[in-house]
Amino acid sequence: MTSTQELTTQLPDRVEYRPGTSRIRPFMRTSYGTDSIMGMMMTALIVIGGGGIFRYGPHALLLCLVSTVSAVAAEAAYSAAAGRGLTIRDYSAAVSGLMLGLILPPAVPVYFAAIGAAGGIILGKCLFGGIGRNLINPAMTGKLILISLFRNAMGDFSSGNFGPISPLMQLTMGNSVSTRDVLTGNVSACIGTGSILLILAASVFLLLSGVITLTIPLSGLVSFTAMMILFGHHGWRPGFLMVELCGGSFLFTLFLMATDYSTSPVTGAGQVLYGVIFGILTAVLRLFFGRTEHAVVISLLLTNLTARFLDQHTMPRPFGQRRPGSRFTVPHPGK
Amino acid sequence: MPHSTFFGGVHPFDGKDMSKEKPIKTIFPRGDMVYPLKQHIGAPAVPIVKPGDPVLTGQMIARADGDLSASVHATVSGTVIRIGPHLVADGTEQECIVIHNDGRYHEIFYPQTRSLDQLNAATIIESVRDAGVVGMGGAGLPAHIKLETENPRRIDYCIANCVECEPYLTSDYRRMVENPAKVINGLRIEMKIFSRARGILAVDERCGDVSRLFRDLTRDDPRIYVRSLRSKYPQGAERQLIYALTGRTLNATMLPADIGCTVSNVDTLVAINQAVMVHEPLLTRIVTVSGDAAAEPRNFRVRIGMSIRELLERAGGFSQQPALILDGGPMTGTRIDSLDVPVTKLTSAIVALRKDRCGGYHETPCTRCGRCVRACPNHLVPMQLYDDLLKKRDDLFLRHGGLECSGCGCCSYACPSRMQLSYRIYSRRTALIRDPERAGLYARRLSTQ
Repeated sequence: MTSTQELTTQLPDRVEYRPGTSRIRPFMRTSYGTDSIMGMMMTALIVIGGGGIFRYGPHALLLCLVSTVSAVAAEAAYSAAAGRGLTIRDYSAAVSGLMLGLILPPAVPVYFAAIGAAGGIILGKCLFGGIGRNLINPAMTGKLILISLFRNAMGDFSSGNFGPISPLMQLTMGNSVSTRDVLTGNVSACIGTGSILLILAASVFLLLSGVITLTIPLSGLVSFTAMMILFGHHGWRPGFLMVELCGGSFLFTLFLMATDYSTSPVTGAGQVLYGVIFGILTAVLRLFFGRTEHAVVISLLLTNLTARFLDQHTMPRPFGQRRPGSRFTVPHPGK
Repeated sequence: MPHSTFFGGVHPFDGKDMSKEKPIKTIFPRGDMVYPLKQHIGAPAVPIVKPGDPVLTGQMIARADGDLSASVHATVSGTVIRIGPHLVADGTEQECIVIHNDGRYHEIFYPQTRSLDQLNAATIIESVRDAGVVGMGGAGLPAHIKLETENPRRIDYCIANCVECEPYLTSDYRRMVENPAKVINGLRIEMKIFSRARGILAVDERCGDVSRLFRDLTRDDPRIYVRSLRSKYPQGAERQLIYALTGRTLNATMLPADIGCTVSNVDTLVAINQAVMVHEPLLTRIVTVSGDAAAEPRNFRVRIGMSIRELLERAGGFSQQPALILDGGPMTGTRIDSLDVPVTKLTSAIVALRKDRCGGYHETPCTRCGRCVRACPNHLVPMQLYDDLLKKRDDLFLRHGGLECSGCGCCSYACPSRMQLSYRIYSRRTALIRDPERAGLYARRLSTQ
């Protein structure tokens, strides 16, 4: 009867747990935390960045490094000054920094990366209260700062063998563009937004690992394509649609920046509307306001501002509610 | 219209393989027995014995106080030592009857076994009430309350909740594999009262052997059928179960009877069967002792009132020092801080976990990732409710449906920031529901605390 007890540890007289043991249920969690999600994002961005660096040379690598480091340093400095503790530990600042690096033209001066990353993080994230509280995408904010300050340099995509004009600008000027070049990224573009194949591969990786969902990208794609077909003056021509979709950082922004958690809605319906708004706004800015390369910058930031509104107005009805239509209220007897 | 599943939910680590193959082992305790007077929802029972009285196994030692109450029976023979406060599993002290166990297990006299056609609604309800049967799926609602609906002809479905969705628990599974006839008979007894109802045995899709067993046994019964449901946590929760089987929705102001359903757990059905057919009061329940730190994970038929320390000793103790010992499963259980507490009618499992299965989680800020929204089976937005309660905005908390929270734990489970969403939201909900002015119709379900 007692033989099994020799093999086992004695039952303690008093149960003592290590300090910090939770007493709050549930006592098990998913294996991924915010840091592992950010880690997967980082991997995807590094893959894309690797392609960009391969194509555009060592200066592109320098830009990416400087932007990443500046973003992390800026957030660390801000949280130290504001007494907020070590928030860079969840790697989200590094992700935003690298993302800014990837949306820079490949030959801009290094201080652009520093200014853009630091400015974007501070204005687009820290001032709002940190992760989850920001209304606008930090990397895109950084790019907006740079466009406002250095408009001409930010529109110049020259680097090595590549000319200063991107495929999208070629298209608007009426020249033809090689779709094969566009797909493989053999064109003048920002560091990370040129190679469509890499972007799609990274997006598939993120979709399969559950980091992003298909809702926003799909609705964005559909609405943008519809707008382009309807108002693009080129009808269904696949060459035109392809360059519009692949050029101007649209796919990169759609899959990797519009799906950013803090700035997108949480409800399913809200996400669909968000994607639709982004697609429509980008198309409108390109077609009617003449912005080609930087349409996504403005349209993403504007769409970001609608996220909280969409959330509040697409709150799901709690399960089993009987009241039709409008807002849920606590039912009282007799009402 | 049945769906076989529901929106939301999560897929936690199952943990059932370690204890599902071994047969149930019956244990006869030797130590003193402790019976809390309140092992159910409602008023505590009133003792009808005093210190020094001899008791027999099966003798009622505390009578139900009113209708929303349940009686307590001695599960051993011996002598009453004292009636007074004693520590119970949730860490509080409750009024208990402590009985010295003489180890002889002399029983009260049991009248003759009944047959199914001798029963009518009144005898069934009386037997179930006298036996002290409560809902053993965790809630503890006295079982006769569910059977006493005003209009039994309004019930269309008697559902047997054979979906054991809580990780590590396999007590219902073993019960169904070893004693399926008792489960089905318990369902038939319920259906005697609800003459218009059909019986559904809802089984998890992974328990194909149980489905086949049930189908074989109910082949000739036109009123009972077996449904297989997709494996997801919390499929065994009342609202999600009814929805997956019948397509009917239930919110937190309603009782299942309002939409023509009753839901009973496997253990409860077996207890009803024992109470009605052989007049046996609620004496034992199956407890799963499991977890990575348990030496011999398996199921035990345990006498209610047995000390958890003795149960763990007889179960072989721990194979290593556990990082956490739980009363119940890891999703809805509570932490045990002392082993010298009794097994009650509601103890379903003792789970001893290693550090890597329940690691300490550091809360980080919400990133608005939306996983909690996708996980909530009640279509709530947990991050919004959490925000409302942090800002102490009860009005917003109510407006966003906070009172609908059923405390399943899916949101906390899914959150990558490891926020303690479920516990805090459910605690706020429990606090608000006690206030009839703000809770409105939700206070009607105050009974389910």
